[in-house]
Amino acid sequence: MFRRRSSTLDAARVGDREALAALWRIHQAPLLRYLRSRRTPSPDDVASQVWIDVATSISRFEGDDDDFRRWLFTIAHRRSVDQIRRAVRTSAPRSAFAVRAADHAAGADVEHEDHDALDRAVALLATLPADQAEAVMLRVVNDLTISDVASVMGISEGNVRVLVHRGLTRLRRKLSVTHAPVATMKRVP
Amino acid sequence: MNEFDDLTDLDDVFGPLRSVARPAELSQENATVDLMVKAHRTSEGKQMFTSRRARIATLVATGVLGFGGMAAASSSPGGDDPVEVPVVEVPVVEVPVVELPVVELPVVEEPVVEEPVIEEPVVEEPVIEEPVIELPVIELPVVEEPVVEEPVAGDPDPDTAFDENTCRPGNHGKTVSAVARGEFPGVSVTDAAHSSCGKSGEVEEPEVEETEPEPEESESEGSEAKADRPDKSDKGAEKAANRNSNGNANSNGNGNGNRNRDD
Repeated sequence: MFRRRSSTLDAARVGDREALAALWRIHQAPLLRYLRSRRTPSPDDVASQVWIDVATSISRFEGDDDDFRRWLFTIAHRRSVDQIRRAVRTSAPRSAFAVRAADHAAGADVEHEDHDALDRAVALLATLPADQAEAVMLRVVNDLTISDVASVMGISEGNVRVLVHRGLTRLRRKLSVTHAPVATMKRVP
Repeated sequence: MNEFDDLTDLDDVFGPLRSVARPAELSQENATVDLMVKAHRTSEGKQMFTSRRARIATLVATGVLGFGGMAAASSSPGGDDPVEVPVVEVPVVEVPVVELPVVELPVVEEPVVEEPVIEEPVVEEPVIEEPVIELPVIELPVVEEPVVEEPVAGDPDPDTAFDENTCRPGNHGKTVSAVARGEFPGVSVTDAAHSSCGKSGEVEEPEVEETEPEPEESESEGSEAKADRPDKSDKGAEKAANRNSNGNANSNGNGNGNRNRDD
């Protein structure tokens, strides 16, 4: 999914429109899902602000595609934190599922089913604590290294491992509880 | 039953999350990319400004550190102990060299305007001869001091009622003593003291050279030399007189004693 696109990055550094659009098409979907999993209010607006920040500073950026992803999610992490704090000051944030359902437009049945699967996955991930959901999203879904996740979240690598482990364990428990047979308690005479 | 019933495994969760982008997620491509292009264009000027600011800040920091280190080294109280200043490595900012196109301006030959030379007339200032004022020579009148004739011994003194013809032989003191003893009845001792009995009539000058020689010839020569000077002749004479008077005091004492012995 993520390959080295040094030529695209080089073109984007000088402001090439096609290169900027290519970067946007590659990273927009993971960025939106990452923001939704963190229960960020108005994820589309935050994503747009993240891309404007990227375009503003990309001429000074140096690195390959992996470095660019780490840089992109670092900006998204900070923007998400700001947005969540702003939303907490104004009103109570909505759930990720409700946010996605409100932003989602109806389409074909197959696409609707895919959207439902995606929305349910994001909603399940959003039930985790915010730091665990973010660590799982970055490490497992977006395949960032432990050091990159630690750099994005501003925590140590050991803490990232613990958060990922606890997040996956909690997800498994939720899934097992969902699909476990209903236990009937026998009355002891 | 809840909303996660169809998610049986972790792959069911991460599969949709790793899937390709949905069309709905890419619906705002044009608007977002336009904003990105605008943001990139506006950031180019800011980048130059930031780069210049960074260069200026680097130069200022280097200068402050350099002068601060020199000042700290020069103001060390020990003086002999060398102060180890930590070497601060300033990151080198590589600034891209921007080659500006050389614009050749057309050479415009300006007409040479010869300005007329204006010769200013030479003005000779008249020489003013100041008149010589001859001051009149004032001849001061010569004042002749009156010659005071000192009384001669033996002559009757008009200031006293004492008959100086009846003086006792000897010095003045014997006559005064005789009057005091009452040998001259009717004559007061004051008149006898004012009389010229026994006085020689000449001013007795001390015989300095005879009684007491000068201790050093250089002093006398110096005093003479000083006296010979035209400017300081008065002061030299006064100093010599003071020395003589001092010497006279001693010599007079000795002289009087000698005279008393002689008498």
